[in-house]
Amino acid sequence: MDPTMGEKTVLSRRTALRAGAALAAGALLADGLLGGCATSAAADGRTVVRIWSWLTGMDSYIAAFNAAQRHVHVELSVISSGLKGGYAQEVNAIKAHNAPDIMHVEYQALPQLLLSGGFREITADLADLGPGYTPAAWRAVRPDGRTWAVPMDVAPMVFYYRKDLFDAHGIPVPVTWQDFRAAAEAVRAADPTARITTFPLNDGSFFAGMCWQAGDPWWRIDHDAWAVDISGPGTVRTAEQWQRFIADDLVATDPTGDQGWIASIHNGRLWGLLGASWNVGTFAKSVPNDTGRWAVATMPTWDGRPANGMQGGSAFAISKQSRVAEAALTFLRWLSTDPAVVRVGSAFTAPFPAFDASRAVARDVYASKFFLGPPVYQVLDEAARRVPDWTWGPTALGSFSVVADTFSDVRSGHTTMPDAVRAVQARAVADMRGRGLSVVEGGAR
Amino acid sequence: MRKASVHLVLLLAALYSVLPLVWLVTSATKSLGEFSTTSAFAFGHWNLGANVSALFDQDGGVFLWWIRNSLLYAGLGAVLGSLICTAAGYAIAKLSFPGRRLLFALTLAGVLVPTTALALPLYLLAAQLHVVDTFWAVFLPLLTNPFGVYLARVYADAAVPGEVLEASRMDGAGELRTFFTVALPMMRPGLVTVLLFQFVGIWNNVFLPLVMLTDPRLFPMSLGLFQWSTRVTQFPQYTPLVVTGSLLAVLPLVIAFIVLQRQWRSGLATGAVK
Amino acid sequence: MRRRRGAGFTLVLPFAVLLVLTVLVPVLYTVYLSLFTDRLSGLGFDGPRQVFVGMGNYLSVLVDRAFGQSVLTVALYALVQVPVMLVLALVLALLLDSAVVRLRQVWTLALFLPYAVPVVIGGLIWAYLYSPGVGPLASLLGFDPLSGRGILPAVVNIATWQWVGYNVVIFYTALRAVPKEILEAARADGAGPVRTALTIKVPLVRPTAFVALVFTVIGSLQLFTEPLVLRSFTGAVTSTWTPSLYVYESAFITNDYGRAAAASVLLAVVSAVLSALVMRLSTRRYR
Repeated sequence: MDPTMGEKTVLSRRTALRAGAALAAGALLADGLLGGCATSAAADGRTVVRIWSWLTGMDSYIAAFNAAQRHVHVELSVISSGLKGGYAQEVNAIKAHNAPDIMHVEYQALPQLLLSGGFREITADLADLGPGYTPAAWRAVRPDGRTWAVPMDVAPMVFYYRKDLFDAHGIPVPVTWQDFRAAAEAVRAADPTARITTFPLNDGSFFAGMCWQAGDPWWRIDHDAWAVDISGPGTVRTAEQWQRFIADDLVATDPTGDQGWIASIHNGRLWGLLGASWNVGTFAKSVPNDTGRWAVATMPTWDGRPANGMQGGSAFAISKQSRVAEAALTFLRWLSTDPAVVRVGSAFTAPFPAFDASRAVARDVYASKFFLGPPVYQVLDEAARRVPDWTWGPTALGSFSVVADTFSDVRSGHTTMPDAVRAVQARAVADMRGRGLSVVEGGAR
Repeated sequence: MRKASVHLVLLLAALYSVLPLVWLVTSATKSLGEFSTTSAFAFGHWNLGANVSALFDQDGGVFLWWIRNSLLYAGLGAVLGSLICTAAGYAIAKLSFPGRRLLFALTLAGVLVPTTALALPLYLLAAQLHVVDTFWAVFLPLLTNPFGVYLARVYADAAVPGEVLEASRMDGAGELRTFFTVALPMMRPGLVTVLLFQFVGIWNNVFLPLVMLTDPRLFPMSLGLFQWSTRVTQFPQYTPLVVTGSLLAVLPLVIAFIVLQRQWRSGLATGAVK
Repeated sequence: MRRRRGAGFTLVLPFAVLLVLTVLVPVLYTVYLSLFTDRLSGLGFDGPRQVFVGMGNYLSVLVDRAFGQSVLTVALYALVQVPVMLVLALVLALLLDSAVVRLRQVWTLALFLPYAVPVVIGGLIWAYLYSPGVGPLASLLGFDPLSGRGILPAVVNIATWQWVGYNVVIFYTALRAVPKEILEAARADGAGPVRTALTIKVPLVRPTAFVALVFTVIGSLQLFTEPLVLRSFTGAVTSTWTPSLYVYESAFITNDYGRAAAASVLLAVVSAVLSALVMRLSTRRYR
């Protein structure tokens, strides 16, 4: 080693070291070591309940709850929405023994998350509320007859359309899918750049919602086994129909809700939306200038028999590891059924609660003039009553992404939607068997 | 002629290295709308102030926590880690104790284990100890630096002559005192090298924090900015935050590297050549 | 002697404890985990149970097309990135070392700066530069770097940008250490600068080059952060694009710990074997 160089550098290195140490020490001083990260008990002796959720306005609901009583203090962590990483985070936390007391879980995800064994059974705790909920929601939190979560809202699917344009061109509101096809052709004839709706090929849960209506559930519980029927007659019929609509260029296939979609709605290139109840809020937020142009109708039907699926809908489960399950339940019962929640929520969104009495309140406080035609809540209520039996399976979320992956080749003609659903069925069955679940193929009763 | 062409090549390479950073600077001055309407390397309507204040306001000022955490993980981690490595490397090189060879063999094996392969077991072990989503779950694993021990051993061999140690012992100094007062100062260049490597290593590690942490207030800067960047397709308003945050994260490092040129130049070189 | 022993223990103790707790135990635990899998039964609502499957997880990883694809991706990536970056770094270092260059400090500093940029941020910068509409590159290059075909060169470029300056500095320092007498002797023999570079300098920095090679190869196998960042900007990076992403996906998204552990072990073995191989080859050739 060159001694002269050594000497020179030693000096400046010392300075470097000192600078580094000073930096670190400064950081330590600035904030005491690691202090103030996780709170465990509120200072005033309230029971602290931790919740993970991505529900819009949850912070306001919690603030209202914390202010309204003095026994329980709820602490919110906002996490990414379920399919965008929220569910992975919840399951990891369950496995890591650091799950929060309450976890947000959509109906479609509940059976899959139940496989982690991390949720507390609350059958007895919630039994008294059961009759108060819309049956579709109540069934969804009781996939096997035991209650696993507290329903929050329901999300029946409806058809939003540009009433002004439909009226101007004399297009009748479609009642059946046959009407819908005629309407789609009429829209395209009226404006060659416009389409009646988009069918987002990247969204498996949307496709599932469309299939729900056809009356052949993708899963059923058959004694102690899962009956898997993703390629049943109803689903194939749905797939074939949309395959034709897409092949005939009657609908767009872009995603819903992103910037491009908002622009299309804005420019009048989309005259309708097949969506869920929560899209009421989307409209008000994304295209506020469209007030007085849109109306809402129940879903077109197969053969006129009233039915429509749901897309989404949230519930909240209590962690098996929670040491404050009682307090958590107190909060969830309030959140799910108290009319105050609806009043808070209607300030920034259009809540559509699963609890019938709360929904009546929501209908009364809804004051927006955005939509034309029959009152929005009346149509949504009608839709909520028309939701047929359906059970989500333990690979539902995985199947959504398989749907999205296989559908991505539909546009280019590499595959067809009916072929794709058969592939999804095969994947789901193989997946479930691989994990040791009892599986029966097809729609066994 | 030859001189000109050599310089031309160097100029191109330097532009390649520096232009992306220039882009970062110009972009941090733009409002969201200007990202797609202005040329990439032009300044915007000087929106930097607004961007910075939006950055520090976002999510309850969480960005400040990220700065603090990064300093703790990488700064404190590198200082502490390099000391631990240097002590171990010195002991392996200069002192005899049972298990010395075994320890060195395990150290070498440790160099070969990819950090990505360790994340899952570390996570599950942390879960069993109930320390997932805590500072320590990230800090302690990143403190371990087998390569640093290897380097320190090389340094101790080269820079600390046995006679000096003997002389110190003759004077009646204990072994620990000999290490701290005689050997450590002689190994200082090596210590700084290890420190530098470890700092950059921790600073760049995303896998472990990504796996261990859910509380945004424990995130290091890289992880926090990454989390924000995952939202930009859905919420474009995060773009200026991500860009401005990146600039603020890079700036001190770039300045530090410019100011400390002499250190890293010799440090890196000795580290790599040996 | 006793004292010395005690001191030795004291000095290595912190490191030894860390090594055992954060490397040794986790490695053994991974091997253990890789032999088990979570099995559900019936409807699955009663949670999973761990069952021993021996080599089952390894088999299912090895036959998984996604895993094979991820290995292929990094192999292809390493095959391109490693030579491109190392040759580029060597050439730049030789140029810097040539007698005619002025302002050496400035050049090395400029080249080295990207090394000071955290990988995540480097990835983000390039992701924006690649994005059509925001950055100029898509229109400049004539192809979309975020498309299925452009993504590999795009990642290669990010890594090269980040590391080339670092390797230049290392090569350059090694070149400076080449004894003056040798170079003068060559000049006396009438060798031009290019010939001197190729026949004298390059062979002398070979050991340095091999160390750099080993680290770059190990680094490429672990490729994780750059594609992770790019995933938010393009669908071309799948969730299992590299083996590290595959491990992440199977462990933390699908929660299949057994499979993730098996993939981790395979990754570690391959990386150890590869680096041992490179070391071996380099020392043999050097002698």
